[in-house]
Amino acid sequence: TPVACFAASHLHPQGMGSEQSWSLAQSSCFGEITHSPFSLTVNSKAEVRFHLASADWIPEDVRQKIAVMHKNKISKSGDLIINSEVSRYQMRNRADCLQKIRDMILEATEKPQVKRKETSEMLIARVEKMNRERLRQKKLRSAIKQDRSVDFD
Amino acid sequence: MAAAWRGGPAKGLEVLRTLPRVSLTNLQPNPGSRKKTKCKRGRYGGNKCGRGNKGYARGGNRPRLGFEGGQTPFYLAIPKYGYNEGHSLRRQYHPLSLKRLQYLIDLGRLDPTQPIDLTQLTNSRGVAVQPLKKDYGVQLVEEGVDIFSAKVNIEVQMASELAVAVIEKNGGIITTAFYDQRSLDIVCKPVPFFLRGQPIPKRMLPPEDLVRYYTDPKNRGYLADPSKVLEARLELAKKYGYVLPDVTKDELFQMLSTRKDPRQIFFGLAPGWVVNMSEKKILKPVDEKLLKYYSS
Repeated sequence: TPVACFAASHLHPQGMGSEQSWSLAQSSCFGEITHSPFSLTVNSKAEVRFHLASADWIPEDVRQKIAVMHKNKISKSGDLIINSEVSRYQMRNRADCLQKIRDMILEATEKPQVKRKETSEMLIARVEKMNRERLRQKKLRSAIKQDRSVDFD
Repeated sequence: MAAAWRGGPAKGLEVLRTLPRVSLTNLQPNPGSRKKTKCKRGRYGGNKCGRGNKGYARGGNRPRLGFEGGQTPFYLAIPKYGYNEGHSLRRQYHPLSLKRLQYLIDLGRLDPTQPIDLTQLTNSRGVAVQPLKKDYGVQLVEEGVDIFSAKVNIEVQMASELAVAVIEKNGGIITTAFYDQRSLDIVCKPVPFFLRGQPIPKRMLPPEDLVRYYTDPKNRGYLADPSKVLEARLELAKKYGYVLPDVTKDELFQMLSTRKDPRQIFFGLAPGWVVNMSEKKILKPVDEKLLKYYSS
């Protein structure tokens, strides 16, 4: 083996060397979805389905929300079915399905934005100011137009 | 003859046995491949000889190509725009589909038990890289993503995300590396270079606009932080929904984890060495200044 003249260690002195990095890989090998949704594939269309009610990796309230929001995608047996035929490659379609699941969960986890008192007060003050300004401009314009008129006295 | 051919290959062979030996006397071009030129003499070939009546076309005095009788010709009417400006200076990367890679491995032209490099690809005639035509290497393309099932340690110049994902899914490793024009020429044609008797030069670092690409762990750049590359591998596995196989537990881990140094052109040879093909020897520099230069 020849001399490592310009080793990657020079480039990244703070980072771990390549040997140490490999040991990291052993500890965390799994992706986020570790249960088993099976993917049906016909040609290059990808379909991912899993039983929503028994999905422990999603919190209960989120699960219920998904069941309500996407009830059209849930079969009679309770499976949530997601399709994708975005591209001609099955892998990409599968990734798209997974992304759709992630988006669904994110949407369901959203909490309704509680408007702070100060924000609502600020908005009302803004509207009132706009109205005041509008009326002031209107009065100015009206004064100009009245100055233009000539009364036959 | 038609009656004999209807029998199929067996009957054809029978007939071949009885026919005379092929020689210069019984060769004939395929019917319809050679068309006889019509002679323009007399009766119907002659008279006006296909040139029509009067006018400049008759005497062979036609105007230049593109002339439209005075109307502004098409090639002048259309305004210029820089679509192809500087096209001869743009970097080109020959596409290598995963389908072709699988084909080469299946046919035994590429050895997956050794790291696959541009040299290996060129030796197996898998790609034809032309450094003089502003080719800067090879890019991995997604065609054949669903068929690919080979565990390889591959080094290319560019790779799309899906291609990277598929190679890692099958337990392989992919790196993107930069070769400047001189190094590319050497990598693609090693033997003519060795015959020149020059010392192996050190590979130059990428230009400004490519530094960002090659230091990005998402592109598996050769200048990126190795730990970040591993994080990127995990992220990609999450994105595409496959379980990332543990490369450390693989029997070919040693081979899979071999990577070239950023200044190295060939595996097993360092810059500064001279390879003597005829005597099958390698000459290494001894002088301090040379050693310092080649190891910088």
